[in-house]
Amino acid sequence: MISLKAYLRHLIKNKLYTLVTVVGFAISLTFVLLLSVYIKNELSVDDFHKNKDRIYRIESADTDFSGPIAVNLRDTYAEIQDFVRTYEYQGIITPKANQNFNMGYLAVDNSFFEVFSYPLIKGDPSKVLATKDQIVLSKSLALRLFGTEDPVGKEVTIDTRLKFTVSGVMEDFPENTHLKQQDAIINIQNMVDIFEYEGFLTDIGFCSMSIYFLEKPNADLRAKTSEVLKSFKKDFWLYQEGYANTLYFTPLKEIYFSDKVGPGTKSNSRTLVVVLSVIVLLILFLAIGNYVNLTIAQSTFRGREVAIKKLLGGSKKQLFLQFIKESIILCLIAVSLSLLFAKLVEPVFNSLLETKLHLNAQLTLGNLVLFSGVFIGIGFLSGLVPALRITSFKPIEVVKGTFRKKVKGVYGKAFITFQYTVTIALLACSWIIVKQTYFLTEKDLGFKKENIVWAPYLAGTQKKTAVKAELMKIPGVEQVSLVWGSPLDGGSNQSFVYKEKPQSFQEIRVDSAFFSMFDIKISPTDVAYSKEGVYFNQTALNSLGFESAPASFKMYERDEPIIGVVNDFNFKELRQNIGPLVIRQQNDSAYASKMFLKIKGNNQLATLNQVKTTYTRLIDNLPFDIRFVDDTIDQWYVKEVKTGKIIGYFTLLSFIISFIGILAMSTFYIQQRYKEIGIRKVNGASITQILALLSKDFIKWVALAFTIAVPISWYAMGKWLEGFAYRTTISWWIFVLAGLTALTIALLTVSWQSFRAAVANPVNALREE
Amino acid sequence: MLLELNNIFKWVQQGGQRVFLLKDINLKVAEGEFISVMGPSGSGKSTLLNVIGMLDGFNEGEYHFMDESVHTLREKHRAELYKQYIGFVFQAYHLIDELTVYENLEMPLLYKKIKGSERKAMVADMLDRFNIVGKKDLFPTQLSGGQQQLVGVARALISKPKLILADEPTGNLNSKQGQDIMELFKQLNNEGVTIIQVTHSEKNAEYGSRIIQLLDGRKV
Repeated sequence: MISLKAYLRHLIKNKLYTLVTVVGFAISLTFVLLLSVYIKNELSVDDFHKNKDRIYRIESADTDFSGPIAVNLRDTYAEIQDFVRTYEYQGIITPKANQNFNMGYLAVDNSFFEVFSYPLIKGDPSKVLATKDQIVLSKSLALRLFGTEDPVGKEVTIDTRLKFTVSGVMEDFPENTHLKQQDAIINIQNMVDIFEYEGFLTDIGFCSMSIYFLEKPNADLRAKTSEVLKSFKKDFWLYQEGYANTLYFTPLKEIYFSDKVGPGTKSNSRTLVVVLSVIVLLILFLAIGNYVNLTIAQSTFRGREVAIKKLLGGSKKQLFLQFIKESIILCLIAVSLSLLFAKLVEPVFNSLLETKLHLNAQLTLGNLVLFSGVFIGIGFLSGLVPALRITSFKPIEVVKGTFRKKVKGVYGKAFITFQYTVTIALLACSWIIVKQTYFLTEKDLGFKKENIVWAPYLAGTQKKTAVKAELMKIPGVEQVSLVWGSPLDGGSNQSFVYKEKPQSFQEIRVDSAFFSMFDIKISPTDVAYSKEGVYFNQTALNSLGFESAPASFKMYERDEPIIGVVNDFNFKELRQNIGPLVIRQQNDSAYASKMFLKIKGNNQLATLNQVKTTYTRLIDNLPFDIRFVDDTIDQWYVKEVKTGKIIGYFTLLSFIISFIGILAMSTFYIQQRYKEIGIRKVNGASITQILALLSKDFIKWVALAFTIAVPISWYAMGKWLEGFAYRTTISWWIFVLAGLTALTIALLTVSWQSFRAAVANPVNALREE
Repeated sequence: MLLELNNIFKWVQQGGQRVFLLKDINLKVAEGEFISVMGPSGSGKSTLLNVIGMLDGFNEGEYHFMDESVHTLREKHRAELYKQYIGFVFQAYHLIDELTVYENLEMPLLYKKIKGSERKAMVADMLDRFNIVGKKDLFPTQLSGGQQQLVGVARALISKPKLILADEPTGNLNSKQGQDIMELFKQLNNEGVTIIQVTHSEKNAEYGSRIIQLLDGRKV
C-alpha cells in the first residue's frame, strides 16, 4: 500500500507528466474503444438470422435480376429450398380518409419472414404475407398511423387506390442488418398493380430486383456457380449479348460488404473497416509507446527511489511488480476517463460515421470482463518496458550519483520517427481528400445548377399542363420543367446492339424548358426539327463511331432522327465518366417523374412556400419534399466528405499523441544533456546556439519521417483517386506543407523545453554532477 | 571479528593503463568499533566504503564478513547479506520524497516482510527514540537538513543492522546539525552498533575510536 500511496503522490507532484500521460492515454483509448465497438458492430451484421449460413444473394457486377430467374433456378437446382425476391419502392399510405403518409416499403415474396429472422411483434411469420392484400407494418409506422390502437385487421390504402389489410407488425429493422429501415412489407405480387405492368414478375428483361436463395441444409449452392453461369450464357439475353459476364452467390454475412448495392440495402466498404482496424492498432501502439517513453523519461527521477529501495531490502521482483502495478493503475484511471470521454463523444462519433453505437447496450458482463481484461493486459504491457529498465538500476549508482546517465534510448528515436511518419502521412492524406472533395463539388458539371429546385411529380399525366401553368403564376418562379430522368438520377439504361457492337446508353426524356433551365447548349443538326427527334451528347456520337451527327439512328426497330447534339455534361456522380446519353422530347401526355423549377435569387423562402402550397393543392395533399439541385448534388459526395472528416479527426488525434510523445522525449533528452549544456554555456555558447544544437536532432527525425511518409501516402492516395473518373492532382506542395507543419510542431514543442535548459544557470547543472 | 579485508585491489582500465582505486588494503573491524576513514579527495574513501557495503566489487583480494567469504558469493547472496546486516547513511540523505517520515521508516520493514503490528511498534519506537514523533506525517522536503539526516539514520537503524556505513553524513549540514548527528553516532556506538564513517572533518573523525588514513588508494 505504501508504494501505491507514494505513486499517487508522485503523480500529483508531477502534474505535467500525469496530465500528459493519463489524458493522452485516455484520449487514445477513447478512440480505440469507440472504433472497436464500431468494428465489432460492422462485423456482426446479419448475425441474428437463424438461416444465416444458408442464405445467398445472386449477384452480378453488371446487372440486377428479374423475377423469372428465381423461379427457374429453384426448379432446376435441387440445392435451392426457397427464394425471396425484393423490390424497394415508395408510396403513399392512407389509414383513414384524408390522412396521407409517405412511406418506403419493401415488396417481397411471401416466405420473407420465414427465410429471414426479422422479428414480428404481431402475426405468424408463415401467414402474414400469405395473401396478396396483406401488409406488415413496422412498429414505428404502426404507431404513426394508429397510435396505441391494435393495427392488426385494419384496412389501409396504398397510392390512394389499392386496399390492404394489416396482418402483422414487425420490429423496425435493426441497425445490424444489410436491409435499410422500411416502413412496411408487402407481397411482391402487388407490384404488378402498383406499376400497372403485367410483366413485373414474369419479364426476363425487367432486371431490377434482388433475389435471395435459401439453400437446403447440407447442400452446396455455391458449387453450382459455374454451371449457372454457363446456362445463363446460353439462355439469358443479358449474358448472351455480353452485357453481363459475372455471377456470384454471395453469402448473407458478406452482402453488407459486397460492392453490389441491391434494392433497399445499405453497405459498408470492407476497406474502410480494415483501415479503421489498422488505425485502432496504430493508435494503441502510439499510445503505449508514448506511455513507455514518458515513463522512462520520468525514470531519471524514479531511479533514485528504486535504488534506495533496493539498498533497503527491496528485491528486483518486488520492484518490478510495483512498476507493473503502477502502470495498471494508471491504465485503469485512463480507461475510466476514456469511458467517460467515449460517452461524451458518442453522438459526434455516431454522426460522423453515420452509425448508431448504443454504448449503453454494450455494457454486458461479458463485455466488461473482456474490456477489463484487455486493458489490464495493456497496462501490463505498457508497464513492462519501463519496469525492466528502471529496476535494472544498481544501488551503487545512487551512491555514486551516476544513474542519470544510464537511461538512453535508441528505440525512443525510432519511435518518434515512426510517430512523425504517421502524422505526416495522415496529414497529407487528409489534405488530398479534402482537395478531391472540393474538386468534386466545385467542378463544372456542364450545366447550371444554381437556383433550381426539384420535387417528385405526383399529379398524374393528365394534369401536366395545368400544373405547369399554375406554378408559373407564382411570381418567384421563372421556369417549370417536367421530366422523366434528369442529371440527378442519370435516367434509365438502354442496352442495345448497334452494328454488332453492344451499346449501353442512358436515356432521359425532357420538355423544352429543360435545356434553357439547365443552360445546356444544343447544336442543331441538318435534320429538320420534329417531335420524334432525339438529341445525343458528344460521347454518344463517339460511342457509335460517328465523326458528326448522322441523320438518324436505330436503337431498336424504329429509325429516329437526330436533331441536335449537346455538349457533354455530367449526369452521374463524378466517380464515373460521362457516358453516352440520348435525350428524347417529352410530349404533354407522357409520364413524368420529376419536376424542376427555376426560381429567382431573392425571396427564395417565400417563393418555395408558395410553390409548396400550390403544389400540395394540385396533388390533393399528397406529401412530398422539395430540394435544391445543388444540395442534392453535394449529397453525392457525403461519403468522401465523411472519409475526409474521419481521416481529419485521426490526423488531429495523431497530432495530439505525437505532441505528447515529442514533449516527453524532449524533456528526457534535454535532461540528459543538462551538464553538456552547462559546460557549453560556461565556455561561451549563446542561447541561440544551444537552441539550435538541441533542435537539430528533432529536425533530423522529422526529415527522416518525411522521406518515409511521402511515398506511402502518395501511393495510398493514388490508389484512392483511381476510384474517381475526375480527380484532382496530388500536388507536391501538400507534402511540403505536411512536412513543414510537423516540423513546426516539433520545433515548438522542443523549444519550450530547450529554452528552459538554455537559459538555466549553468552553475546549477554543473553542481549537480 | 565482524569483517576482514585482505589484500584488496580495485582498478579500472583507462587508456590501456590500470588506474588503481584501492591498493592492497588490509583491514580488520571488530564488533563495536567506530572507525573514521579520512583522506583527500580521490583517495578512495568512498570506494572503500562501497566495497565494504558490498555495493561495489573489487578485482583482487579476500573479504570476509561474519564468517562468509564475500568474494566467493554470488551477487544475489551478497545483496541478501548487506540487506540483513548493513545500514547506509548518505550525505544527501536519500529519503523518498513521496513518502512521509513514518512511511520512510516503515519501508525497509515492508521488504523484510515484518507483520503490521510489529512494524508499527518498531517505527513508533524509532520515532520516539529520535524524538521525531511530531514530524511523522511530514514529507522530507518539509524538514531541515539535520532533521532529514536524523530520519536517514533512523531508517538505517530500524532493521537492527550490525554495521552502519556513513558516507560524509554531515557533509550537507551546518556545524550544529553535524555535531548532533555525531553525538547520535557516538551514542549508538555505545549501545553496540559498529560504525564506519567517511569524513573530511578532523573534528568529526575524533568521535571514532580509530582513524584510517587513505592516500591514492593506499592505507597510510
